[in-house]
Amino acid sequence: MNSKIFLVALFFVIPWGIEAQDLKEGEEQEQERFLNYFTFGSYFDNGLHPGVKIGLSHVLGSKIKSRQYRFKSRGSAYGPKTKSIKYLLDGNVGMYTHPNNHIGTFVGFGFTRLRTEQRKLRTLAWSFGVNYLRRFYNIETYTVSENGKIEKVSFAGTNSLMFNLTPSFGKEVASKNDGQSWRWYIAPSLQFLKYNHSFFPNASLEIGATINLNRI
Amino acid sequence: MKKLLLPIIMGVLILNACSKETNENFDHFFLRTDGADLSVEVNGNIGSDVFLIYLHGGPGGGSYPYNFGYFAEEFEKDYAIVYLDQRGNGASQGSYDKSALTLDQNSKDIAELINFLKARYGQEISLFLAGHSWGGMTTTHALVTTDIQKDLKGWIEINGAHDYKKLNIEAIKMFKKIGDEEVEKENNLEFWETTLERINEMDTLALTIADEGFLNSTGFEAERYIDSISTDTSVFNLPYYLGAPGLSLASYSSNLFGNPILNEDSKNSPMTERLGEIEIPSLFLWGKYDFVVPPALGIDAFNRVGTEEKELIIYEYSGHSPMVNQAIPFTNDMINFVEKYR
Repeated sequence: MNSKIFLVALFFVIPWGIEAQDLKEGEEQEQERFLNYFTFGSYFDNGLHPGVKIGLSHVLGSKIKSRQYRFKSRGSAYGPKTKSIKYLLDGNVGMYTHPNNHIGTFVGFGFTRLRTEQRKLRTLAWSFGVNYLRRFYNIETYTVSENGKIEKVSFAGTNSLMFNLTPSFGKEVASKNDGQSWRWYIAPSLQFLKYNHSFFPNASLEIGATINLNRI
Repeated sequence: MKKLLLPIIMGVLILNACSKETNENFDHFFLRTDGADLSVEVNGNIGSDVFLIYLHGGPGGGSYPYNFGYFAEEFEKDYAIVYLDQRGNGASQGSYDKSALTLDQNSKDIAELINFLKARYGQEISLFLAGHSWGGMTTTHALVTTDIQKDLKGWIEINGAHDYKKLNIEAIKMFKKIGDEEVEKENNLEFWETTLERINEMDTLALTIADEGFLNSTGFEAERYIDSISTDTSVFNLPYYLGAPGLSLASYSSNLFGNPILNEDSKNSPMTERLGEIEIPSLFLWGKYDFVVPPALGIDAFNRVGTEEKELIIYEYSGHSPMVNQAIPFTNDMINFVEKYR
């Protein structure tokens, strides 16, 4: 990743870093690599038009939250209720195809707050991202010149900024090496993008997996 | 990772292969003009050299609901239909300012489409222009504000809304007349009494936006309470809707929020006084029970157009969409008109 982009991004997340509490040994190890997670999945524009999306994430900070269960019997059975929270800087690229309309390609970055409930390893993440979306029409585009002749427009399409707010629900999967090496997730996303004369809502759905690069 | 990527990429390519290819009966393209990429689908007998440019209603609609059913299937056997998604509607897209969402611009788009069709299919092709509902407003506007009449063999207005103010007044009259008759016959009393009560409260000289919205939505609803209106169910084609080019939330949102902009412009652009400028053969097709755009507008347009080559047909068992309600006579009348003036 371009170091300048990373420094700018870091500026926005310094407060998170300050809030981060003591790390456990395992998490210190996870910070050893610059890029900590690799994500890949199926991407469905509007839940219908299929595509793919891949991404890499860098852990900006993390903390552990722990509290006692309300019911003592649970506390004695499971110990304290513990959640790990990680703040991630993500970079993504993806594409999808909308038949008889366009092929969409996008590249962007975002911030994610990933919460993992330690007992059942369920995860909930909230991401906010900014993307550049380029739609390449997959049908011919023409224009009529001033002298009345038809001209074909090469690589016709539209450009758009696309903002997204995405909750992601998933679960970490324990590996045989006594650690969580990957998690699966499903993520419906609300997007705002430039379309025609203004910004309008759009939606997408992602189903995929994230590999913890520190555990492989 | 390589093992995973290949099947994913193959899957996407296979799904994308669902796109239809251009052939002698089908052509689909975007026409780029003034910042918009207009979605145009040409279906049917392109070799006939007879093209019907068919404008959808709305605003905020699209051409895809018109692309199936008896009329489309029968008409396309002999001629080609040009389904245009107007700017800000359907699958048309692009990048332009809000100020470009006007009837003036839509009319220029139609003129550009006609130039394109002649350049693509030949200068000698026969072109007809038809508009349904709000598409009737666009066609009327285009006919009197651009020079397209010289390129057209005829105009067909199908329940066309060429004057919003007149439309609302006539809708009130029609609701009162037919509503009273239905109440007298004790048909669907709850609906008609409630509707009449609301309509009788309206000040016809100062209709509010809420009044106009009520007239429009109740106009569609009223068709369900007229027993004699029939329906061609073949127009409901789920697979086609799922594969529609404009199927996306962004497109629907844009259509939805573009609707008030185009509606306001249409409201402020009554075409009644300019109908006399239309001098090409004209056909007016109307459903008798159209509360959305009452037949009085068709009668008025028929009386005002500046041509003697004109015909008005009112369908006894139809509402706002005679191509759905009485598809067979509607199709025959369209074909007869096109055959006469092609």
